Amino acid sequence: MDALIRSLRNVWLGHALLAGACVWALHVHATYRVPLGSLALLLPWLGVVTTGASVLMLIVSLLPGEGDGPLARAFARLDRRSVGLAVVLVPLAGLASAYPSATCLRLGFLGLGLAMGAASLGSIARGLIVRGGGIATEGLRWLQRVVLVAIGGFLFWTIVVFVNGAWDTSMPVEHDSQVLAVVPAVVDAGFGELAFHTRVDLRSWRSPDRRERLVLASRETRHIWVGEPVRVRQHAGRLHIPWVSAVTLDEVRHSRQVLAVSPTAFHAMKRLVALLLERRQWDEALAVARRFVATYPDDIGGIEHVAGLLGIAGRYTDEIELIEPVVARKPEYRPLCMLGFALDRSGDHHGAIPVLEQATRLAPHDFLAWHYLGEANQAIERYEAAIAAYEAELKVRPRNREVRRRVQVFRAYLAARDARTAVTR
Amino acid sequence: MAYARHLLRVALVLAVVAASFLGQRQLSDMDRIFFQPSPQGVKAITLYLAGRYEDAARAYRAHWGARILSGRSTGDPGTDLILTGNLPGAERLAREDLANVPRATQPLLLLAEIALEREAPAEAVRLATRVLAVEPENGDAQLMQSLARARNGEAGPAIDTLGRALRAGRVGERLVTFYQFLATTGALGTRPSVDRPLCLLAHYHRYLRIFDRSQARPAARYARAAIAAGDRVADAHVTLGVLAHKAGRLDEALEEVEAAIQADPRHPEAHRLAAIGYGERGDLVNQYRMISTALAESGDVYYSDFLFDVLVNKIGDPARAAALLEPLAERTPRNARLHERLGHVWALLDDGDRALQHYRQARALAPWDPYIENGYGWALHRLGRSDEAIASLRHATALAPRWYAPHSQLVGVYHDLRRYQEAIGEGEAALQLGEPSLYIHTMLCNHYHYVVDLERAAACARALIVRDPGNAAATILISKVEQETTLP
Repeated sequence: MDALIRSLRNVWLGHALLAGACVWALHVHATYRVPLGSLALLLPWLGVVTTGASVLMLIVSLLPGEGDGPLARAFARLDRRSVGLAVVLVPLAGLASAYPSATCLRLGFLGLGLAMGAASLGSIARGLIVRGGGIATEGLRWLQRVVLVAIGGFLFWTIVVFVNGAWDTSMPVEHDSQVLAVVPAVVDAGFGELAFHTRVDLRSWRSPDRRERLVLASRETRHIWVGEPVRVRQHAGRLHIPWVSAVTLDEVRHSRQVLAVSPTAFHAMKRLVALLLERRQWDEALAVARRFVATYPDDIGGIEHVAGLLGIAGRYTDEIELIEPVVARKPEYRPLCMLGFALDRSGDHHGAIPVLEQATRLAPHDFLAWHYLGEANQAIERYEAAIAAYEAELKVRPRNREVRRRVQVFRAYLAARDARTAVTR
Repeated sequence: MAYARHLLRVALVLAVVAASFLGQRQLSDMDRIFFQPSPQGVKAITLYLAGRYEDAARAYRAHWGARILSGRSTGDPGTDLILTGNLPGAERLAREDLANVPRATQPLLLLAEIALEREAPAEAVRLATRVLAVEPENGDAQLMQSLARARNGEAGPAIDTLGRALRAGRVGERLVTFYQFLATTGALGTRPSVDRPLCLLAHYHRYLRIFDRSQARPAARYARAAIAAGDRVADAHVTLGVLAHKAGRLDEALEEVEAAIQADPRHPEAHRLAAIGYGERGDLVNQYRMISTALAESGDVYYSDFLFDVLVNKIGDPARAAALLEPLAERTPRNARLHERLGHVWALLDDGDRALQHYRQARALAPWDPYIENGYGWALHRLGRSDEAIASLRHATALAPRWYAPHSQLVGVYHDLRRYQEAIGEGEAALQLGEPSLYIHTMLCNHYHYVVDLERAAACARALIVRDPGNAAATILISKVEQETTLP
């Protein structure tokens, strides 16, 4: 302990280490959050304790008998010249106000002012302690030890939290929860944007009657409100201490809330379909997609978008259900391509071919329908028809090497087959 | 004795340090308008910092009077004449200007300032009202009208008019009006406490906060006093909410505007500010409720832009937007922007006739507006009238050659027409002009691939990944292109 204190007595190093460790600790607790219960209430005090420890270290380093280090000598010099420097400080304040964009002026003013203030306070403290005698001096040293032990304990817990989170390789699990209370910290930790200012009470995912208490990272504080439906991403923890990496808006439930107050909201419907598909909630996704089609039957682009989402998720039968009525009402090129592709991918290659042929008749100079038609024919081994479709595509896109390659492969295959047939005969 | 002297010296130094910090903080938060390089200017700022606003305004005017008499100018001849006390000359100048340009607003504002100088607030109100009839959003006229009404003892209308200027962030540009404002604030603040219009003073200090952030303190003090005295409680809460929001205390700001809504459930500005607060958190449901209520309760076209943004761009409820905006368009048929909004809304509802009718009205009212032309092009495209859409969007690019949006719209039109080379040209132009949309960037990469320009497709996809690391479409396209490139 004494060795630690001796090394910390090199005040600059001590302050730097203390501030660095506390900033790192705050970062760790904001990243690998362990639901703490009432302990969360203590975290915002860290800044106050750190500041107190810093002041204590400063005072102890200036105590008689500690030896006049470079800091003490610098402060003594500043203190002796303080009246002269105060005369400089006033016009410097004026200049810094008049030229607010001149950073060097402001920094100079700030540095000089702070140094003079610290030197004066240090000088008073030293004087008072000299007059107060040995009990005050020894009391201060003990207080410093207690504060440093407390901070050491906190840093040890931080290392546990860090190891538990940073070395955790378990898959996270998402839980539904809801914000029950948002409580800004009464005490500002003194680290500005780095520190926690807020804790949040969430409906527990372990037991509905309980609350889970978490500190919020400063980036999350502005985007949270009471009643917000949230998803809590929880990890098992390397040391088996469960920790939370993120508290995010549950967009599915939020979109449902939007639709409850605005039942025809199309952005909310589209978003909800995409999110439900991501979560593989197929039935509800299809139900919302049907609702969109029923609400906006003439919005062909919108229906294509929603049907396309189902197609990307591999739900071709659902995609066909949505796009078929559009094609029946208005057989245009793009919906026909979409329907033909979905039919082909769903396994109905024979059904896809007439749809895609109809598309090629509508826009013979576009490649997409020809390409899909080639693939549909290829799937049922009608290679002559596939070659014909791909060759039509090559007329539109003559530089497409992949299609040219397909044509070559199928021609070679047909030639080999014909040769085999001839030999057999 | 030596120790006592040392303590005294230290105390003195600490006092100087503290005073320097406080002074520097106060002065650096003030606008340059307060700093005038002359003895009168120094006197003025000293009086201002001492809270003697009427005397400060007089000192500032004396500073300008001396400067103008020595051959300098404020840059405005009418203002020069008022500041040198030549009111008849200023009036003559304003009337001559009015005779030359009868619809000019600056001479009317000059006349309003002269009327206030002559202690004729009713005349100033009449003149400011004439300006607002021509330019409803003229910030100087709103300030002038508020001032004149305040001097006329009409605190409520004075708050309402100033509130309209403040909500739009208009500060006014006329020097004399500013000094009259400063003097009026001082005069109202030195009235006996029973006569003091607390909420109006809160608003006047809130206005002065734009020029000097320390004015937030008296503004909040007067607002709290107004709440305690029951003087326009909702407006006072709104003032506290705005001050908290400006200071970055967002939770407190929302609490204050919620309190304003409690005090007056029909207060539109409180609802708008609540909508902003909820929007900042991401609470779309409450944002939607609040901005809908703001417009429904006020019927004020000012709220239509915000409502449109939430209802159409964020939620996608054009039917509700149409229901709320149509009555406004009937009341303000010459509002081009509103017609454009309604055109967009009806196009989303696939009612082509109504959409195009509104767009035509908007174009007739503001034929120079590229925003309207771009929207018209979008609506035509949505309604399947591609050739007209292209013509309209081309016109929009001519109206705003440095704007990416019409080019981005053209990408979509040419894509649907399967004219990929032209879509590529427009996509490149849009990105060059700063189009931020990843969707347009993705479309451009796909179009390169459609026309089998594999080299540019790969380069485009790589650039897209730089902008959006992990972009799935770009990753797939790159692997596809690489595979196709290896083919013989």
